[in-house]
Amino acid sequence: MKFILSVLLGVISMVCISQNMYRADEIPTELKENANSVIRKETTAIEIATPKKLVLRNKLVITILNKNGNRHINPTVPYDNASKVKSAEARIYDAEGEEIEKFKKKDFLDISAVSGGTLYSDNRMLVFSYTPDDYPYTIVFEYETETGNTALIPPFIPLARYNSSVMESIYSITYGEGIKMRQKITDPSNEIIKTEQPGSIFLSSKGIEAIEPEYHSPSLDSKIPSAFFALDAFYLQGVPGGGKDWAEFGTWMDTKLLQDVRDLPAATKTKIKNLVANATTVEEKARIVYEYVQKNTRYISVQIGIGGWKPMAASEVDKLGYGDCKALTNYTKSLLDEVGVTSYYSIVYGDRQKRNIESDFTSLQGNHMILAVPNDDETIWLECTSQTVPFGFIANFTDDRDVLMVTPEGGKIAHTTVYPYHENTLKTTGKCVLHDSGNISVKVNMESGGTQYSQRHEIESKTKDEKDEHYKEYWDYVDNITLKSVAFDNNKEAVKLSETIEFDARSYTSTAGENLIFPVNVLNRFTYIPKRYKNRKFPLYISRGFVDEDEVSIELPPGFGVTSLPEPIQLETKFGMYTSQLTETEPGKYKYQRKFEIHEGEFPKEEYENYRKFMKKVARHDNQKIILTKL
Amino acid sequence: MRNPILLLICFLTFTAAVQGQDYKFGKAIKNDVLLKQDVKFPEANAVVLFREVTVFLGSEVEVYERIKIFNEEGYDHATVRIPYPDVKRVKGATYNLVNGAVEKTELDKNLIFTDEEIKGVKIKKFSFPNVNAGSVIEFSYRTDRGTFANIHLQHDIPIKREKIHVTNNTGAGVEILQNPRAFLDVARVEEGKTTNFIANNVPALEHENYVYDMDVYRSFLKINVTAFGDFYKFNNWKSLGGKIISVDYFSQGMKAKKFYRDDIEAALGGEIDQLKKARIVYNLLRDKVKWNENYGYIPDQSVRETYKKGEGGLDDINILLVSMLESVGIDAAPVLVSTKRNGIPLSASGSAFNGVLASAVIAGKTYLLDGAHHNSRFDYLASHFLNWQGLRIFQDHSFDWVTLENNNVSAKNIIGQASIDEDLMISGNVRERHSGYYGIYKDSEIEDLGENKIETILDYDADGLEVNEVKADAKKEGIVDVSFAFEMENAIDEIDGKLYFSPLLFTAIPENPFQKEERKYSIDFEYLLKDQTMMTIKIPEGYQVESLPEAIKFSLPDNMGSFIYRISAQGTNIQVQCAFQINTPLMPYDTYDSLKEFFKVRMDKETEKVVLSKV
Repeated sequence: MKFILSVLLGVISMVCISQNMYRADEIPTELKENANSVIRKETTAIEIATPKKLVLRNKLVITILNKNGNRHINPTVPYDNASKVKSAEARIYDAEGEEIEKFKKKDFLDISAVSGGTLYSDNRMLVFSYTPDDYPYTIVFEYETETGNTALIPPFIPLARYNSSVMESIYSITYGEGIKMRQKITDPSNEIIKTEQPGSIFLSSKGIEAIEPEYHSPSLDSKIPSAFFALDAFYLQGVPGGGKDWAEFGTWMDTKLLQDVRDLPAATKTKIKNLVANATTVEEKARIVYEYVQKNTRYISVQIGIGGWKPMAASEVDKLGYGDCKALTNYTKSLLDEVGVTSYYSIVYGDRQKRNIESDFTSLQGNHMILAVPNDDETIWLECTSQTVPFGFIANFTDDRDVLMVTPEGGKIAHTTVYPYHENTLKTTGKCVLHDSGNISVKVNMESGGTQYSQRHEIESKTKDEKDEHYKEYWDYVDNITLKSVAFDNNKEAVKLSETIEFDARSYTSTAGENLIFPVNVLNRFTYIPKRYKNRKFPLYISRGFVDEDEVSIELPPGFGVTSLPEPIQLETKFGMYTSQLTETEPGKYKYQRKFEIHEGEFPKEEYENYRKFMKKVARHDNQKIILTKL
Repeated sequence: MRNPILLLICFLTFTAAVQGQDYKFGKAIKNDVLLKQDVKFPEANAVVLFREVTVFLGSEVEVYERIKIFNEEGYDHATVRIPYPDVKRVKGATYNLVNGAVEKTELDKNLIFTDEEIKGVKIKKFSFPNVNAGSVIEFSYRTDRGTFANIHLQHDIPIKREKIHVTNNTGAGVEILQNPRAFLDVARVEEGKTTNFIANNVPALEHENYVYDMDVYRSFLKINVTAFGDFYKFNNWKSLGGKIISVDYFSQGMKAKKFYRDDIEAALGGEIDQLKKARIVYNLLRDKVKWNENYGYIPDQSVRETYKKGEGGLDDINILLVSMLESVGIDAAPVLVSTKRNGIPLSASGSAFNGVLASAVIAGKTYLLDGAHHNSRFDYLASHFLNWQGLRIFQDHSFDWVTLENNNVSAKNIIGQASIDEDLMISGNVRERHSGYYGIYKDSEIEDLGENKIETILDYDADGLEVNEVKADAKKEGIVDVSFAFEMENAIDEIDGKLYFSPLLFTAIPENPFQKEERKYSIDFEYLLKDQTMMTIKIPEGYQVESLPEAIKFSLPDNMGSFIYRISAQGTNIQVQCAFQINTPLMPYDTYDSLKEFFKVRMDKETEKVVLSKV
């Protein structure tokens, strides 16, 4: 009897525990601060018995506090030909910790994991979808997968996003005898506890508060703890590989993935040789080859098996006229080889935000491939997937970062082209005629270079409507614009774009009683004021600077005069400089001159408020108005 | 004996309708490869030169398309994802001009990928080889799936010419209709069991703002089954309505029941006013039963199950609502409706409708009620139901049409006070009241907020504006009150010792939403609306009013909308009042120019400056 009672009590208390475990109100207050979700507990266990087998067991308990937290759960279990999903389950609990929904493995949808721009990939995923009625709610999501790929070991990143906090995260990795495991732990605020024994590593973190994103601050990677792992010898889609350092690793890539895909049809060989027949320098030859590739191929991505890592053969690209970044890079390299120009595959993280290949941690990294062409002391970098960018131009996607260059002597870390602020230019020259109706007629030329070229050169190929929309957006502070003409001169050799535009705008001026109010900066107004932070936490980071120079002549309608001209402005700061002035050139005619520079760099967080003040002043002066009175 | 002359005339008429060129796979390529630009669509990056869709209802669809790629921007159209599952006999080729001759590259079968985007649904995808600026590509395929699916007549690139043939050998009653919202000139020729459609120079579908859903404006053919076997046979609205109402869950469900009687009596508490009773019943239902996000007009379960389980589809819930209203003596009936996405109900068919609502007639006024959708409230239907008319059906198989427009005005009232300090910073307080649809949307924003920052529910995005002390209070009946304090930098210009600023501050409309030169589709504001703003600004010490903007009243033609602006200086304050009203929620595209001008006038006035000078 006593025995039965205690069993019964045990059952009851277990029921109570399981119900209470996921109650949302048990989250400490400090972890709810700035959080849209809270990871209650994440447990990741990785077993690598042999270099051919990796078992991953993951269990995530996460409470979603509001709508913005919904995307904090990635409700997918990825798999491919080399792996299988052994189990998957998700349960949903309401705020009181009561289970409200359950997804068994068979309830998951099995879909292809094709990302944008990919035609076909054998990557698939199981996915569940839950539409919440109320917040907060808790998801318990567990799965187990087994894969033959040990080249990419899931890392320990307890906090992987902004506005999410962590109560507890536990990670373990066990590995068989004879396996050489390397690790790289980054822990800026000492949040990782580690114990290590032969054949196993155990990591954990507790109570990590949510990080609020801050404008103009360094990337999230630099703010959070992480631990990465790699094997000296791994398997990738059935292919053995690895390397204890970049030299070895690069040699593996070169011999196993890259060397046997450079065959070209004889006709193409002849054709490309004829095309470069009159070229003498490396640069000339490379330019001809690059433009040939641009003209004859396009980007289509197909990823099957090792094809996710090994380029499609050059002869295939030649036949089909398409390929992904690896295939097109390899095709370009094969053609360059043919005309005697040396080039190297270079693996990179392609992103607007600059991200380095971790040079001190030899492992499979990167998401993109470009081509390096050594030319005397410098390197020409080629983006082979674009039909339009100028030769050797890589701004805004692969610029200023460490890459892995694969050479016949093995892998080497190299750094791509930097675009310093003084090369990122925009020169605006124009004429603005004001009519007594308050309407304006404008003719303007804008010449851009560097990163500013990169932001603009694609406008040329847009349709008339899209151009119309673009320029209305560009001058969004001028309403009721009618474009009259748009002309482009894209000098790819010099990497300069010239846009010449004529437009009329109704009601440019606003009225104040009898007078007209005329904002003097018509064509390049900076209106953005950075957000104010009462308590800035991270440094100020400006990833790319620029220089804008403006000169605009202004003609007033007859019968109007200016009561007084604004004082010339000159601002100098460590973040950049600003000058502007309006001068009378002859009666009724004025000249507006402006120069605005922002310099790239990282500054202590205390400087953020000074930067904000500078930008606020710039916005104020760019909004300078003059009063026009009837004479 | 047929008259040979009549036959000949028919034949001639038919060929006369055929202009432009028809193609067969692989034939007459050269001229197309030589094309440099399309005369009719000179800006197109790619065009469909010819497209032929042959449908045998219930058995097979065959599609052929020939596309011209003019430049690099058109390369995307050389990648094809076939919309039908399980297609067979995919064939394709690219044609280029090489040294004056046409060179053909066949689409390699190994490069046609079968992607199970969802396991079990096999979709074919491929990208054409050897595509250059100037290439012509063509492809064809067959499938036995989806033969009753809508047939698109419009792509995201122009179609020079297309022919659609629909043959009905099924014995079912079928009619083929064009989407009435997409005005495409299509020649229609009946030939026995086949209906042929021919269209030339179909423009690309363009995307515009203030449109409920762009696909609503795509040209397509819709195949309605009007009769099939014994059950499924409607030749008019009456037989359709009759058929539906004779379904047990429908007709039985509508009647008053006992199982909720105690709950209703408790909730009513002796209330006798019909309108108040209706509201109480409505709110009771909403508290008791949650919507499972399914649409439909034939209930899947009995009203008892719906009530006891506390969950159901749109049909389950609204039939229950009819029953509950009936039980308290309110004259209620079901109304079949079609959402905006489902299109306008054009003819009596099973797919004409995709939902059912309840109507209640109280003191001669008809109220349309939906107890299911999150964005519906008493007398307010979620906006995708505001689609033309609904078919109200009665137990005796009679029917009538009720308009689904909402005649309530949704209002936003903003009242603010502000003062200006020595640094020319403006600070103050604002109170807002959102009602009608404004309230409904604001309410759902607040509901979705969870523990998110409350300031995200505000609608303002002015440079230099900082808000704090934001409070929101969602009252019953869809009214939401919001209040906050603000500080604003850079809002005042000081020129020659005078102060210039727009007295509506950040509440002024930030830009004219209608900037495009032309408009192709109707402009949908969804409901009648009225925005009213009153801002009172204290004149700073040592300043006086030099000038104020002039008052204005401006209306759209036929009083479709109006804008009123008034301003005055009273003692040490400036007070501005502004009212913006839309009286016709759905405006035809040809009112666009007036609407653009209307917003320009509004924008100019709302940004006009007050001038203060030193005393």
